[in-house]
Amino acid sequence: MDILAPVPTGAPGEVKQEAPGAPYRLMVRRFLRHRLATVSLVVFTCLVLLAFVGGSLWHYSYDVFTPDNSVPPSLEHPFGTDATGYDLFAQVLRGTQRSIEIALLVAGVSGAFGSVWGAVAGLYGGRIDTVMMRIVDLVLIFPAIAVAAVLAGNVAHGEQSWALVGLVLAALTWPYVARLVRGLVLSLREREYVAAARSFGASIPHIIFRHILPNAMGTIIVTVTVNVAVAILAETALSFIGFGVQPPDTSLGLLVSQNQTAITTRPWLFYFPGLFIVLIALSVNFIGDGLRDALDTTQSGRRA
Amino acid sequence: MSEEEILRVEDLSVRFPGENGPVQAVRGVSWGLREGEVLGIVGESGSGKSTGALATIGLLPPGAEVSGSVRFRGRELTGLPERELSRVRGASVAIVFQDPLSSLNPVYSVGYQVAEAVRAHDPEISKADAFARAVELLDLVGIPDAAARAGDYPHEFSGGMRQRVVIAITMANNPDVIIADEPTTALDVTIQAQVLAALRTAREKTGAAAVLITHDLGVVAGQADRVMVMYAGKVVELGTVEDVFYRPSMPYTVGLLGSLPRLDADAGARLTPIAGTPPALDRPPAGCAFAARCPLARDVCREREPELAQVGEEGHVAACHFSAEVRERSAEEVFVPVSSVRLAGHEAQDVPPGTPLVTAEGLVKDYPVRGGGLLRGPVAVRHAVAEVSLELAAGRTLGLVGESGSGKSTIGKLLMALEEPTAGTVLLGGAPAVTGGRRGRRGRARELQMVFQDPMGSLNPRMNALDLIAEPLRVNGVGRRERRERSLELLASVGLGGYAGRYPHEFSGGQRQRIGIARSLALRPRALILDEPVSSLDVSVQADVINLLRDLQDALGLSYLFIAHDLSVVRHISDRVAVMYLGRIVETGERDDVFDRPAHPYTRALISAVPVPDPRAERAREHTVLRGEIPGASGPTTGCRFRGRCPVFLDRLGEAERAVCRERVPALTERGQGHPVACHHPS
Repeated sequence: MDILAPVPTGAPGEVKQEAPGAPYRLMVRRFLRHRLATVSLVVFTCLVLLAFVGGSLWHYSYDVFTPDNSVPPSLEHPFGTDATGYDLFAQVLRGTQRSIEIALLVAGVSGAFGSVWGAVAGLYGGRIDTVMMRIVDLVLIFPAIAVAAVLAGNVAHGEQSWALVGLVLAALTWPYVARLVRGLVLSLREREYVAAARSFGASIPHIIFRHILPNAMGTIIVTVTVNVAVAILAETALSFIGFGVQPPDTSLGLLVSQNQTAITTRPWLFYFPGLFIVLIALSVNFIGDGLRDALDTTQSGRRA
Repeated sequence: MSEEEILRVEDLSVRFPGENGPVQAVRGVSWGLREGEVLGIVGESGSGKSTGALATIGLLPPGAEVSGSVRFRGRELTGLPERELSRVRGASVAIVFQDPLSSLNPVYSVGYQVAEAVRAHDPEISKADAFARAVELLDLVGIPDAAARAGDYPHEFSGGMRQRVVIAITMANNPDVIIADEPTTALDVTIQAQVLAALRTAREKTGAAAVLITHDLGVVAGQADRVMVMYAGKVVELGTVEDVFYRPSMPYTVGLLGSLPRLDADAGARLTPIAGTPPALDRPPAGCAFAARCPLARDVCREREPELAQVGEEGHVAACHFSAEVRERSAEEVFVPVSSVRLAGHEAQDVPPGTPLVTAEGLVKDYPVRGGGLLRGPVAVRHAVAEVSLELAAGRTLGLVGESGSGKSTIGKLLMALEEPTAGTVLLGGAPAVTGGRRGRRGRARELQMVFQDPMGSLNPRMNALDLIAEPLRVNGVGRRERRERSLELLASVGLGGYAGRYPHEFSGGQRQRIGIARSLALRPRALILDEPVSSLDVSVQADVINLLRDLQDALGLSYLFIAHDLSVVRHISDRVAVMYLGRIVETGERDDVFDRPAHPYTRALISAVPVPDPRAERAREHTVLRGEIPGASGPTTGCRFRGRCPVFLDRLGEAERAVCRERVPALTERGQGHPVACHHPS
């Protein structure tokens, strides 16, 4: 075969002025452009560091009385102390740690279980799909907080109570992930590149691992992120009504609950844990927003 | 047509915020619209043709910055508050968008919506009179049985019918200007002809001037008085249709016309694609925006931007430093067509051209139509494909044409074993192919491969070019080293060597389709099924891909099944043609036999509906506007399936002859040399 004359097929540099390289670099750039999300990421990282590292460095422990009762915020006690003499800063750090642990547990367990459940239902379809999704509907109609309160309140005692609270919340939130992933898989499996792979004779595992999962990952990550925020609020609510984390351990919701009567006399006891709840929930939500923008492959970024 | 200008645009610019700074979508365009004329605006996607036209009446997404001047009947529109603007729009301008659903309210009947427009224009009229007038208008735009259908809601109409409802509303508004933004783009040619006819009626009844934005040069040739060519946000040529089509004076216009396959021209001629892609408008080049793609470009073109200047006839302007030179050359002389295929280490077929490679016999595909209900049992059967037989021969191309819904894509899927046929067999090289599931597909993968319509959709966005092309090899157990070598070789052979690490979003549409083609060749198949491979590409890129396909066929002796709705492209590339209607092949034969001597009324109507990019020829042609649309499951189940739309059956046959059409399914019967037709009354 002779080598025919080459033709210029257009300088590919003109095709797209985006940085060359893998799509993830574009995603990082898009995420960084979302200013609130970037700030939130910094805030959230600081909170995590403070809660997990700061707690052991601080010279008071969350479960040790200090000689000062009911002092307002000062240099000695930045967030003040409560009536029994606990240092609120130490307690808030501990509470933040517990809340974040629970939230990550919920997001991880519900994300993984829900994704697999939804993907299997979506890919196999037919009767398997129908049965699996009816189960999802069944779990969804439980009044989540009431069920969690009963379950967690009856079984959760002692040191590991936070983990049980997390698992109960995960058991109630995975259906949201499952529904979403199923919908996603239903649309992904109709894509032409899946048809193309089938036309080469590709096997089902090949299609799942090379085509479906890499393209579903973005949405799953975003959903799981948003679930972190939901879980933190759910844990707070449960602890507030007394069915979550049990004393002497503490969590942000529990702190708010214990100190609700002090709101007029010693407002710091109420506002500092509240502020942390708001900070965590807001920053995680904004990170979720940023991820959504960054991972949205439908935006070409060139057309305004 | 008077010379009075109703709309005057001066130095209009539009900027959008973009990822890399502002995108200058429209860069200082000036034009005028005269009373009663039709101005066609053409250009590739991203040329700013829609943005520029919609900006004149303030219809832009938020964030757009507009500068310049727009005067409507002498009144300055730019800078007017939104309320004033919308009053001007309501009273004088009507817009027909590509997607009619966006302009129809889903909760009101179409009759009510047309009547609303009538009443808005004439508050004195009674409700009953307005509705009667609405029915009249719906009838005018060609809604069959308008009185009965006026009570139906938008979702009960097809895309083409909705577009005609929008045009009826347009007429009720009695505008001075109609702006039609790609009004027929997603429609079949037959439906396009119906919509264009409705649009013409609307213009004649209201005397409005019209701006017709389209990428289809054939539509412009048939409908417009003057044409404006846009490129990279600028007007590059403007003149009467005849001036621009017969004496193009800007290389881009020359290239656009030369890259178009034509229904009425010698199919052997090579198309002249325009290499490259338009510049990104967030950093427009200093000189002529087209210089990077222009074979005539010299230093001055890259340094200084050419102004629009008169060339030849009064009112014909072009923006090119060398327009005089361009006028004297043909497309082939400007864009010297060269082959883009570099094939080293490929071997041609070991069989002589014409040997049957793939044969389908009596293919049938039925889909159950499911009912509502709890059990959703099948209530009927839809025949997507009915008794289709065809043969793909080495080194030859079979073109398969028909409207959407004719079953042509289903045939491709049946051949690829992506769908199981209800009946019929597929023979590969004379032996029956394994049917069923993944084994069937594996067996076929080495003989037969497919190129998909949407190059973006058929390439996994998370894989780079090398992995994409290597995928069929990987699936079929080829080792890593060999995979890599073969993929690099394939990538180079489609002119993309050196871009192995790039991802789909970093390529242009045409380059993506090249990757799709390279991938389909990875397993060295003997035949390719090309399912609308160029229909999502701009014309200049389309020509490039068509040329590539031809070169590959010449070099490798491949057999093609070319599935397309664009008859001009099919005529250009095919050796034989098969025309499908509602799952059946109604006519087949050598390309020229079918196109020059069509015997089936459907083929004749289809061919006559294709607009030709040649103003004089297009206006002189006789157009049969086919009535109605391809029916779904509700279509006739006995006799000839085409009879409900057939001009012969409806207008020319007597009762006795009609009875034959109603009762007997016409079989494909030979008429002359290898040109069978399925019609009881062929011409």
